Amino acid sequence: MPHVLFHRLTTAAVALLVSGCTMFRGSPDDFTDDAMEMQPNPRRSETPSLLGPGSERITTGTLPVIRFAPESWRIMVSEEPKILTVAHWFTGHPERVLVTAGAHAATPEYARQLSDLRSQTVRRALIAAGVPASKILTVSFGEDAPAITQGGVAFSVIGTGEKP
Amino acid sequence: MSPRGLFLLWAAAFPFAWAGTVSGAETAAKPQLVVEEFMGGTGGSAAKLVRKSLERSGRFELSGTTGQYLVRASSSAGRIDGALVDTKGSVLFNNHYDSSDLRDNASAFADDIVAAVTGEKGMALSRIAFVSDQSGFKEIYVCDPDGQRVQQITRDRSVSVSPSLGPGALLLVHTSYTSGFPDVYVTNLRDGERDRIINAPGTNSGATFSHDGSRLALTMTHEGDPEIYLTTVTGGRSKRLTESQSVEFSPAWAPDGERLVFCSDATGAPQLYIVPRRGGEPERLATGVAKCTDPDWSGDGRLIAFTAWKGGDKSVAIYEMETGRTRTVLSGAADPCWAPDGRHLVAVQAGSLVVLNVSTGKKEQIVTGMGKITEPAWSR
Repeated sequence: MPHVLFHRLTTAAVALLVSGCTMFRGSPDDFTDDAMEMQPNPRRSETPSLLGPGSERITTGTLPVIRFAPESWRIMVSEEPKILTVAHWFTGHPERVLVTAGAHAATPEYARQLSDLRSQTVRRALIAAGVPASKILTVSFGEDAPAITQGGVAFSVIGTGEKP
Repeated sequence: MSPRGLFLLWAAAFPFAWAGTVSGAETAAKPQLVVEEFMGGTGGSAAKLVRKSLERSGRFELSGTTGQYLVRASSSAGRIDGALVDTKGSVLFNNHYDSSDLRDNASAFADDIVAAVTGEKGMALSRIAFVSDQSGFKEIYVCDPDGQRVQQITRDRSVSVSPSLGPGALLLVHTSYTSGFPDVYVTNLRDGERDRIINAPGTNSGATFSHDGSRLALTMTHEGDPEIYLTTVTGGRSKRLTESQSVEFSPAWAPDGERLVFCSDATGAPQLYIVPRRGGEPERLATGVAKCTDPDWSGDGRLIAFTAWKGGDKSVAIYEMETGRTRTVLSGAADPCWAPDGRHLVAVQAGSLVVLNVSTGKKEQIVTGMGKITEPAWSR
């Protein structure tokens, strides 16, 4: 009789453990047949952003906004001089710049990803113009971008945090 | 005596007194159900809820006197003892529903009736997540399939978007800009515990549960352009599924978890593509529509719902996997997502949340007046 009770208690404990795992933790990576092909996800280093902690260190509106054609991520010829203006600004400033992208598109998700591609395209253009990659951070909001982006890509200066 | 014991005693005392009122002829039309008055203190409310759920399922003719099945139950203190009996007097099931919520018990009973009669999943116990800006911020809300019990899940006062609900609506995955950047979070809806599972550099968004809830697909950009990745609900590792110099977004799983449908603007306007979970060349779906977004694969694998764009006009359309045909099912609507029963779609139409029975064309507005509503997602 005691061993029956022990068996039932053990079974119940295992069942609880398993149900608890699958309810919130889901299948651990090791349990999936994709596990061997999966790579660790990188983690972003925490930096100031317009909506998050450290937003008080950010100054907006000092650099021009890059406009895009609807649902496009390619930099228009008319906007190329602005890229050079921004790249030139870096020569006299030690600060980093936050590239903030917005977009209006057919769906909110398309807008988020399209705006990411816009920010990446601008980042690559700045790097090609001689700006060190370490000076450029990006964040993409899609249709939820702050008004400063005007549906395109805006540049915000991240203060060093040092008092003048 | 327990409610279950009371029910069994009651069932024994009145052995199928209703049998003479049941039609034995099964027709090709919808199965006919007789829902008796439920006994017990909360019997009236329980019967009303069960009847409404059965009506909403769109699968039955509810009759007052004659039918092929009898729904018999008692309910006290919100608990339900429910049985389904066929014309031969056989008890198909006799279950006790003892959740603390009468509505949940009624929904579970209704889903069991659907499963017993049709062999398919019901939707009464499912839930729908959506985004609303009524608070001044985009936050995630969850409601029942009839729009009742709207519950605000996030209170970030930031931007919370792109929700997906796992099986049984136990887990919610969504993107939030709480950190200042778009990260993916998983929330246990039972206890509210929330984990940030992905904060890779770039944009992490559009996470969606596989039908069995074991995997997630999403778009990440940390390797450059927006690409589709697979991960698990722990989010520690991922596998890249696509590679192109365009925008890949809005992945959705086939019910068997072996394929995914997603959007890509590789050829210009977004189109739908299918790719095997284990990798391979994506194959474009010939929908015949110039611009397609928001695909979702039905639970039986036969249909893919999506938003079809023509100029500025949008409509919910369905692509039939077997025939390759596309048909419009709801004009002026977008963002479709299948119910777990594979017969109903939720979508956004004129700022409201609507549910469409694809089989009958019957449409019901379930949530309105909550500001701008977007991105509805039905639990798997």
